[in-house]
Amino acid sequence: MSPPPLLRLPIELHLAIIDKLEFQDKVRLTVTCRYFLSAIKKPTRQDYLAAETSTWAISNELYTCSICIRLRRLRRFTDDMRKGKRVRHGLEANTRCCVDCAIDQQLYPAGTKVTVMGQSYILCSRC
Amino acid sequence: MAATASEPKKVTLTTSDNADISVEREVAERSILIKNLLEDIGDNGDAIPIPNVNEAVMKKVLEWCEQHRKDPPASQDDDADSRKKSTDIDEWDQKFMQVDQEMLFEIILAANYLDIKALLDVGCKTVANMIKGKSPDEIRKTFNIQNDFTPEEEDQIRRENEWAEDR
Repeated sequence: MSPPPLLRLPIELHLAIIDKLEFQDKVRLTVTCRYFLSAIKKPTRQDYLAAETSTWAISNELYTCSICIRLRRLRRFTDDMRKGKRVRHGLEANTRCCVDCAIDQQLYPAGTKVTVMGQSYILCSRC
Repeated sequence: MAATASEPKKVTLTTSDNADISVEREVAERSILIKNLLEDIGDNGDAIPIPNVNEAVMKKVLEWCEQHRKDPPASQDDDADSRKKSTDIDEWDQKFMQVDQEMLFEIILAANYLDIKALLDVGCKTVANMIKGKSPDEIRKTFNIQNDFTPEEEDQIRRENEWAEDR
């Protein structure tokens, strides 16, 4: 079976098309098959930080975690991580990380009180 | 008055499937490849072989060239980053690009080979617009792309891009 028409183009023409895509569409094309996964450069932390300021990311409530380097939804971050210098565009937006990474990195010792979307939680010392 | 209003100059193009197409030189010269060829060899009336493009695609491409024959040459600004992301296409071009995917990608390949930047740009924008706003699965369906990831790879991709699945 011959490849579908899109995949018959040479890579430079794929790149010309990809160049016209917004961040989110580019990523969605990346994850369709191995070829595009290898042809399209993986977004860097800087790419994610730039993308989180787009109207698309704002309306989808997405923020960058600088440790696992991906976009995650609002509820994966403590409120402190989205305030002050860590807001979108913030001077220290690049130091923001999600709750999972923070726990992994032991930034929050057990018993720490954190606030997520206005709700307070205390981290369990057992789990 | 001298007879300057003579017939417009014509050139003949021979396509990959050996069809001869006669076309006004001004129209054919939207292709930088053909323009340079004519300048290099001089217009001696011989047919110009276009071995990479068949008759059906060439006719379609020339239809575009005819419509855009008076367009000003692309300016430097066209490469500026601000314009790059724009996927606006004028109405005539949108209609022109309403063809099956086989033809769409043949046009893109021909525009690239013939060096017709504006047509290549319209083609790429058309494809970009077909990708825009779709989920990965919808993109696969649109272009008939086979999902060739292993379940493990897919799991990892899903984790990394948990937001990408929904629109």
